[in-house]
Parts: sequence; structure tokens; C-alpha cells
Amino acid sequence: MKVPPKYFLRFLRWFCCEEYLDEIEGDLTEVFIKQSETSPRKAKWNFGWSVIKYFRPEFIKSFKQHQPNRYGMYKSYFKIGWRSLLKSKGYSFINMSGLALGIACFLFLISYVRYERSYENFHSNADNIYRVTLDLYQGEEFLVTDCETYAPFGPLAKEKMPEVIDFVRLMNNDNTRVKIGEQKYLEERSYFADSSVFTVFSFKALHGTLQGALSKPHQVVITASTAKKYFGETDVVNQTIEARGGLYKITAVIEDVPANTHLKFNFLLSHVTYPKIENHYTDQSWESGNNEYTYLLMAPGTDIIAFNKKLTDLSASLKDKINEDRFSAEPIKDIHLYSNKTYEPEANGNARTVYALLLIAIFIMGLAWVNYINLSTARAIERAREVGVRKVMGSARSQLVTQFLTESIIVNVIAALMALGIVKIGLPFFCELTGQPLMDIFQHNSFWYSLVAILVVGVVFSGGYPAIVLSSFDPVSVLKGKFRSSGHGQWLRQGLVVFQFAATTILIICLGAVYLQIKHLQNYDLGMDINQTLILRAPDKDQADSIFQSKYESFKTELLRDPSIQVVSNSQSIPGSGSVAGLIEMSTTQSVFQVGKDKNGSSFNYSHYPIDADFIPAFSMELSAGRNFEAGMENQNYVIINEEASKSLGFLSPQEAVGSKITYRIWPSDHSIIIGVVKDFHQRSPKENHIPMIFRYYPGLSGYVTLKVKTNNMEKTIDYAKRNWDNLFPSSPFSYFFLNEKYNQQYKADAQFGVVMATFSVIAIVIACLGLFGLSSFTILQRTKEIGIRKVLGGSVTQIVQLLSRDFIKWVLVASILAIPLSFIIIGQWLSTYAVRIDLSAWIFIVPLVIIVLISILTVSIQTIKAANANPVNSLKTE
Amino acid sequence: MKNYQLGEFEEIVLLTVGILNNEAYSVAIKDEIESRLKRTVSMGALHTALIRLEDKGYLKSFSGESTEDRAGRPRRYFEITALGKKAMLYAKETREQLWKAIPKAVLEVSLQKLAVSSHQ
Repeated sequence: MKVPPKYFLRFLRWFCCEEYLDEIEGDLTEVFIKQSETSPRKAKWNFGWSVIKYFRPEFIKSFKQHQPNRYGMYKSYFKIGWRSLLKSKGYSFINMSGLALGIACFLFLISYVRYERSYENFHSNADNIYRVTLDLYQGEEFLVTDCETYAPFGPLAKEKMPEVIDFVRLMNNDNTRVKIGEQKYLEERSYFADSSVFTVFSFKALHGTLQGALSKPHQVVITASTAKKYFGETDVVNQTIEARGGLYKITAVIEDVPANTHLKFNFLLSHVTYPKIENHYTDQSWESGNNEYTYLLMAPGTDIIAFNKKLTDLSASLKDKINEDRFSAEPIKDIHLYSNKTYEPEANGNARTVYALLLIAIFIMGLAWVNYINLSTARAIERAREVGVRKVMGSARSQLVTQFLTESIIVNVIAALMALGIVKIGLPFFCELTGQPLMDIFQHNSFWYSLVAILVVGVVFSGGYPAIVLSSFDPVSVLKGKFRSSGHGQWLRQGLVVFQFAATTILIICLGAVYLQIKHLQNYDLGMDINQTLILRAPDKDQADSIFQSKYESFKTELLRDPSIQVVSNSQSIPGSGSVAGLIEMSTTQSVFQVGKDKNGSSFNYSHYPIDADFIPAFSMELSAGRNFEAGMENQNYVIINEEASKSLGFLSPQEAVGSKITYRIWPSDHSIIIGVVKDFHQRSPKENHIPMIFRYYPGLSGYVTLKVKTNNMEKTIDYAKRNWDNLFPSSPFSYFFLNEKYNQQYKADAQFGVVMATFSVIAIVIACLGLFGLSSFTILQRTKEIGIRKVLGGSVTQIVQLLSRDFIKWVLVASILAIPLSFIIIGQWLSTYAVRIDLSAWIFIVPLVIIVLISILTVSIQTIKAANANPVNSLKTE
Repeated sequence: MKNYQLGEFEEIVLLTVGILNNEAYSVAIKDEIESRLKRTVSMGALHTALIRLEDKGYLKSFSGESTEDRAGRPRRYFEITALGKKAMLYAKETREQLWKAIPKAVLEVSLQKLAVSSHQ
């Protein structure tokens, strides 16, 4: 028999109203069949043509909704949704609290990430400002990148390169003493800045004008809070402050520098002042060292890669002045998260940490959604009958989907409200945890966007799957009572439980590793002793060198009279990374080599370390060969190096180094004799590798005074030191700190990361356990009768508990084992950034595994023991 | 006097339904018109006419048996209602009245002319 063309038939069925469809279809088919006996082609053609001719208003079905007002139905969705939540309060609570916790964590972490990524955004030119840094090379071998570059570079770039609109140079002026009248302050952060700093960057003036505010020598622009500190008010234009090199006139007061910038300061001194107060320095000389943070304002749309190529070419053309060094530019927006160079103005954030936390946030959110999906589909059997009856009564599938989605909306919205409460209450704790300034995260649009996004995704994802599953039930089998939860759903639920516990186990394993690593760093043998070490900032040099020196000598003698003070030393620097702990950085030189050897043979970035004879004993450092400096002797031509330097200079052993001569590329006539080699110690944190160092004897008072103390009464010792200080250096503030505290600040970021991770891991465990608790209690409810029968037939409580727990524990175990290789990779990656790291012992993996299994056994057994102990009569008598 | 609305094609359909008596369903009506009047009838136009006639109350329909030719769809048979018959009669009478009112000469001349022209 001939069949009419399928597509036309389908089209007809689609548009034609039901009233006429049967007849029209019948007629056309009849005509078609009759015609196709004679000419099949014509029949087909006619059929199609007829169908098209039927496509006119009288026969097209009405696409209008038949129910003009659907308000009633929506009301019903909400009413039923609300009732079904109330009907099973326990599950609803588990669902909502899990979701609320998840959403709150997510919002916290999103805000954290937003803040970390908001650095420099307040500059209106932020997208076009680049920082030029200096890559130090040894031949073709890259050594290190220095954030500071040469003073003449800025003007040269502006002159030579059309895309450079303007430049600004800032010269670090750390630890400056400021005098206002009789008041003295020690300011950690200030810069000598070009006047273009206000056109390139966007700082807002409160008083005075920024136009040319730093164009003349001895001008200063201070921030509002600094002005308050000095004068008690902010309108202080035309007042003067005494800072490095004399009096400075305040030309403007600006708003405080926001916390989210890498370039923080209390005041800016005019850059033109610097050559006037430091004779060795001129703006034009490439010989004055690379000490200038240089920022370029570029024409919008400049290709940074092409520009960097041009910078490389420019560097090559300056080879006679800067040797192998190369300039390179980076966007200032990338500095906070991606830049980790030497001499950063402040310790930067770490993109990895930020994205790790983002990942944790997504994990936690996923856990909460999984709970919802698991609990809703597990309860399918309960809802199946409802679905069946609804379908029989004429409910369309789309309406059922809407019904279940509405429930999901109710749950999600309530959870979101709870989450907002949690965020409101928990914000101060969270900010303390991450070390971010407390801020009103509610006022950021991104906060609300992410909340809405979470809600939408949550409703669609976590509500969508159960809605589709629940609405798909076949009413006949459901109402006949043949319905059983599908095997497919079971697999999914088990898969999701595995996912939850795998994620949680990974978190715990990583947490353990982070904790152990930080502990390890803190207890690491640094090659020196920094406990009970009191550091004083050296006094101002306000008198002639000789008087000053003799004062220091008497200060030292006085201090050593106190039995608790064992050694007193003076040095320009002390252990601890400058950028992190706010300490003075050492100056560095490349190209140090043995006298008589090839100039390019071995050249690294050597740190110069001016010390006195007591430095090495003060830190209990050990000499692996040679001797220490001797006080009062001629030490001018002697140096001590560390083992790293001995290696990089090409000595085979420390013993060989002793007695050898070294010289410097920039001071070729200067020959130094190595008299000792000190064992490597971690000048900076053990995160980093050892750096080659050259110690020179420098008896002139500078930098820091180190007091090695042995006492139980530190207060008394400090008091004693202060009394003597005030006697001898009345014009300098007495400021001190404990070295171990300062040194440990270098791990602050890691420790903070650990604490944040710990907090969120705990939350993740709680959410996962909530889900497991709900799921197990529900499954047990389904098996109440089975348990009753087993007990009647003689099953013991232990057997039943085992039987019920086994299923869950099995999957948790699978999850934990899956988690091990993954976390192994993650930890390995993370640890690879440390020079000193823990060994990955099996315990790091086994302990979390045991913990997670124990926790889940505990969670499940609360339910199983209760069920197993229940009287079988109760469960069997009801039918 | 009641106004009976009846279009030309509608009238033909109505008459054909009458001719087919108890066997009037869409395809049969179509075939009947095509064979008697030698004109093609599109199913869509026929349907529209049938629906209108039913709406006006001149026809009523009932579902018949389903057959294999129609892929299991039932036929819909049509029947002339009392009102339909009145309308048919009314149409016939008004026409006859009009016929009668035409002067004989007019008809003859034009018929002769017609005959002449057709013979040429």
C-alpha cells in the first residue's frame, strides 16, 4: 500500500486543528491512494499541494492558550511546594542548610577573588599603564627580574617610542624619619615621585592642586590619614614637614591610597629633590644603579608583545651601559596576582591561591547541589504516586516539571536568604581569616550577580534533574504499585556520593599537606638561630661619624653589661625577605669573579652584606672554612662569602675558596681576599633557594642593631636597652621587633591560606555528611520492613548495622581511594614551588582517608543503630 | 421572508449532497461534482464550503465507518437538514422567478447569436 509523503503529513498534523484533522487526513489519503494507482508521482505532488492549500486560517489550530489566567496554577505550585517541604522537615532542613552553607561559602570566596582581582582598578588609565622591569641576564642565561630599573629609562622611552605617552618614576624611600616640630615618626612607606605621578595614576586631591604638585624640589604630597597623624587635621597645605634631606612643603593632600594597590605610601616627595640631597645621584646617569620603579602610560591599544620586543631591541642598543640587562613591561593590573619578582614594593598575592580558593568554592557549591539532587531523587518513590495521580488527572509533563522546579526555587531562595544572613554575620571573621580589609561586600554588583547566578544555576541544575526524573514516571505502573526506584537513578546517586567524598577527601589531604608544610618551614633548620633575637633600628646619623661611632661603642658596652644580653651586632641587613617583612633589602651586584679567571665564567646576582665582627656569632651561624672578621683590625680588603657564593664562583670546596681573591666588574681594581666561608643560611624564607652572598666588614653604624638575648624576662631587657638608648640617642625613636616574628611573616600568606582552607574543608565535610545522613536515613526508612523481618528471623543488631552501613561505607571507601592519586598530583604541584619541602609520606594520605571513613561510619551508624534497635513489632504491624 | 444565503459553489455542493443521498462524504462529493460538471474541485475549497454549510445549519454530519483506504480515518457523511432543503428550494424559486421575468425576445436573440457565433 502506498503511503502519503511523511513530511507533508507531519506538517498537516502540526498545524491543523484537531476538529478537522481526522477528516482532512482521511480525505487526502483516500484521494492519494486512488490517484497513486495511476500516477504515483502526481499523487504525491497533489497531496503536498493540497496540504499546503489547507494551510489557511480556518484550518490552522489556535495557538492561543486556552486558560487565560494561570495565576491559580502558580499559586497551587507554591502551595504544594511549601506543603511538601513542611511534610518532611528533616530533609528540607538538610537540603536548605547545606545549600545555605554552600552559597555563603561561595559568596565569601567570590568576594575574596573579586577583591584580589580588583587591584589597580581605581586608576582610570589602569588598562594602559605598564611597569617596566629589568631582566638580569648572564649571557643568554636568565637570572632574575628586578622590579626597579634605571633612572634615564623613563625619559628615554618617552622620547624614543611614540606609543609611550608619559612615564613616572618612583624611588623607594623606606624607613624614613619624619619630624614635625618636636614629634618624630618612622615612616615605612614613601617614595620620591615624578610630578607625572598624578597624571598617570588617579589619586584624588582633598586640598591643594595636583597639577605640578611635585614639580619643584622639596615639595611633598601627603595622604589624608598621614596629615591627620601629623597635624590632627587634613587641610595642611603649605605646612612643612622635615624628612630625608631637609624641609618639605606640603603642596597637596590626597585621599588615602586604597588598600587594593601594590603601590602604597604615606607621602610622596618630589623626585627632583633626590639629586640635590644625594650627591652621587643624577637623573641622567645609567651608573646610579637601578632603583626606580618606572611606570609607562601607553597609547590605548598598544600591543604589549610587540612593545616588549621593542624594549628588547632598545636594551640591546644600550649594551654599553646596561650590559646584558633587558627591559620588559607588564600591565599593572597583573602585578598583584602574577608578579613575584625581586624588590616588589609589597608582597604580592598569588593567582594560584586565588584560583585554588575559587575551585574550593565551586567544589562546596557542587557538594550542596549534589545533596539536593540525591535527596530529591531518593524520595522519588514517595512522590511517585503523587505524580501518577496528577498525570491521570490530566497534568501535562511540563506542569509537573514546573511543580518540581517551583519546589527547588523555594528551597534555593530560602537557602539564599539564610546564606545572606550567614554572610552578614560571618563577614568580619572571614576578612580576618583572609587578611583582607573589612568591606561592605553587599554594595558590589558582582556580589548580587553571583548570587543570582548561583540561584539560577542551582534551580536549573539541582532542581532540573529531579524534576525531569520525577515527571517521567509512567502513571500506569506507578499506580499499579509496580514502581521501583530505577537502577539508573541508584547509579547516579552512588556516583554523586563518590564525587562528594572524593572532593572532601582531596580537600582534607591537601589541608593536611599545607599544614605539615607550614609547620615544616617554621621548624626548619635555617642555618642560624633567630629565636630570642631582638632587633633595633639603628639610630639616625645626626652627628659626625666618629662621635656617632663612639656613641654606638658605648651603647654596645652598656648593653653587654646586662647578663641577659649575650651578643650585640650591627649590620646593614638582617635575615628576612625585605618585601614581605618590611626590611631593608640588600643591594646586589652581578658579575663577581675570581681574579685571573674568565670574566663571564661565573656571574650571578650577589647580595652585598655589610656586617661587623659580631654578626656571625649573633645569629649562631657556622663557618665551614676560614675565619670571621676581627674587630679593631684592618678588614678592608677581606670578605666572607657563603657556600652558595663559593659554589657559584667556581670553587670546588669552601677550603679552596679561603685565601682566593675575587673582583667585580664595576670595580675592577677592587680585589677582595676571601677569609672565610659561612655555611648557607636562609636569608629569605626557606621557600626560596639560597642566594650567593658576600659579607664585607663595615664598622660604621647602619641598618639594624641585633641583640642576642638569653632571658626569661624579656620586658626587663627591652627596658634596659631603651634606657640606654634614650641616654645616648635622644633624637632617634627606639623601635624594636623580634626577629622570629618578623621572619615568620614570610609564611603569613601560606598560613592564612592554610586556615582558610581548613575552614572551608570543615564546611565541605559538614555538607557532605549532611547529605550522607539524609540519604542513609531515607534508605533505612525504605527498608524498615526488611529490618523488622530480619530481626524476627533472628538477625542480630550487629549484623543489621553492618548490612545497612556496608553500602554507604563501600562508596565512601571507593571515593577516598579515587581521591588519593588526584590529591597526590595537586600536592606535588603546590609543593614544587618551595625550595624546602616535606616528603610525601603515606600517612598524609592514609590519615585523612581513615578520618573520612570514620566520620561517615559515624554519620551512617547514628541511623543504622537506631533502625536496628527498633522493635520489629512496630515496623511489621502497620500495613 | 427569511434571507437564505447560498453561494454558487455552496449551492452545487448542497445539490450534490442531495444527489448522493446517504453516500455523501467529501471525496464522493468531489468526484460527483467533477464527473457531472467537468470541473476540478480542490479538497480545501470543498471542505470550506462544507464547513460553512454546516455552520449555516443547511447540512449536518455524522461519523461513519473507518476504512483502510483512509488509513483508518472515519468518513464524515453529510445530510441535508430541513433548513437546507428550504434554502435549496428558495434558491430554485428565486431563480425561476427571475427566469420568468426575462423577456422572451432577449433570450432568443442572444441564443441565436450564441448559436451563430459558435457555428462560425
